Amino acid sequence: MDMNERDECSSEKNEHHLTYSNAGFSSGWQFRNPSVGIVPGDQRGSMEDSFNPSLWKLCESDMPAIAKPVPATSRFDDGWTPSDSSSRGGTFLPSGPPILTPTLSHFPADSAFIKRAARFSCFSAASLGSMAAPFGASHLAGAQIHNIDINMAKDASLHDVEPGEATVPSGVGGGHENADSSSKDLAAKKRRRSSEELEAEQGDPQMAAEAKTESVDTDHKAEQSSSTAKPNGKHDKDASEAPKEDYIHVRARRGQATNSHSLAERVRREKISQRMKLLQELVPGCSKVTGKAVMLDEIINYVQSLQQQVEFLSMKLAAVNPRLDFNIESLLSKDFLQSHGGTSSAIGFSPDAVHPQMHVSQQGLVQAEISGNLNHPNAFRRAVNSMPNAWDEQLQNVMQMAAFSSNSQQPRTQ
Amino acid sequence: MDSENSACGNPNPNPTLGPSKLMLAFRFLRALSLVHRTTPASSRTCRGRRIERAAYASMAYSAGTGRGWSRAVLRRLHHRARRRAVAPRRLSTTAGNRAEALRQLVPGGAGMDYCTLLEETADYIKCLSMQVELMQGIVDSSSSYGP
Repeated sequence: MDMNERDECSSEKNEHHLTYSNAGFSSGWQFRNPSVGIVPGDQRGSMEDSFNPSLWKLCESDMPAIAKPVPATSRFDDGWTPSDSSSRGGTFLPSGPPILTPTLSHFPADSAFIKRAARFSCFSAASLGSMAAPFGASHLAGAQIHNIDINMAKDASLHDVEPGEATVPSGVGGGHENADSSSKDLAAKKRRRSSEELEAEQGDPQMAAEAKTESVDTDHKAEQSSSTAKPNGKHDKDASEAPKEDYIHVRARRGQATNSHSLAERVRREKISQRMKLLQELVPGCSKVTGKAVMLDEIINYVQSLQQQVEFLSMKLAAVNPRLDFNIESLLSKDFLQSHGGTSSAIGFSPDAVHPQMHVSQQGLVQAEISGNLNHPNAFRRAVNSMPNAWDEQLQNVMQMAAFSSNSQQPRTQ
Repeated sequence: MDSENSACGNPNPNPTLGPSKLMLAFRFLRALSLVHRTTPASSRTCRGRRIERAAYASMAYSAGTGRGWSRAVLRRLHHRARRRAVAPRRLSTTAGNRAEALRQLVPGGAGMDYCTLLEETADYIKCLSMQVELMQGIVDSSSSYGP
């Protein structure tokens, strides 16, 4: 009789169960436990409400003391394990108080279950403050906490997380690895936040700490799997849809489409905005400008002006002819010829014969750094590095040496 | 002109940080002196254009081949060695779309997607401003030491 009633109820309840994206046991437990306000009460059918007050009373007063014999069934026993499937969970739904008691009579029989029961009741928003249990942490209960955390995170923290998610797209834009770590952090933060909320309610640091550690650990594993599946965009943020995947996909923003195309689009847009920011820093006077169009105009103008400057300066350089240039050339080549044995034949002149003084002055420079080696760019670099590093100072030094050496020579006709 | 630039050892070892000013100065000064030596003093505009090409060449070599725009510049230089071609400067005001205008300005921009175009533009601006600084410095110091 009990079994029959149970069966009838279970068939109805099963459908309810399947809508909950949770392991069967825990959702069944939530169903049973009125004070577990984790899944918002709106989602529940009216049937649970009828159970709620009765369960409440039973839980409050009778839990440790229920001694009514239970028609022992293997199904019941199995049902208390957290690994239950959703179909089994349905069988536990009592249709009425008489059936409640058999289930509740198991409470004393299973001390671990008592702990679990206390835990779940503790998590309720409407909470049994009294039920805030001094029960020690148990592993099973912790796993349930994890599941409940997920539900909480999905439904309740969704609202909280909006500002936090603003940081996620930047992580996305930064590349796959960066995105993984940032989403992991965000997911971990969510779990911690939800468990902290719970902690604040009951003041049981032990449980919350364990919940945190467990949820964080499982976080990482699930995040990896979810992040690898990310490009497919299969994970939906809405709680109602993810059956096996308890994790929220942090990269999909709430209220936005999550198929692969829009995710890729979002990544692309993040990249573009990053680059625009870079450009904004490069182009002078663009920090106040906002808006892509105006920025682009500024950038175009700047590039145009730079190119015009190059043209103008090159014309000027053509006019200003410097024998100084020639001296600079010799200065530079001197170094290379010394270190690299005259491969710069394109330069086409022999410094030794023509500029003896410069040769001497150059020698000092060359010997200043040493190592007769290889690449003339390196030698040149070393040569000039011996001079101060300021851009203008370098040029000035070079010019000074050129001037010094040019004073002692006859100017070359060009 | 290109040969002496390209003979200058390895391309830019750190493309992400931008070309080193030193190498830029070295290349450009060398090219500049070559131009002065080889072109007759009469054809100033011709020399000016050569100097401008030398400027772009040294810029591109200093930037290395890791950048799309530098590759495009070098390609253009090598292919148009015979013609008197300078850096194309089609007026971007004719292009209605701003992205199109930018593509015309940045060498090699036509074949890039928008995202890459922005990145290349940033690098191009960096190198261009370095080149302008260098040339301005040369002009200033040569004018102070001038004859």
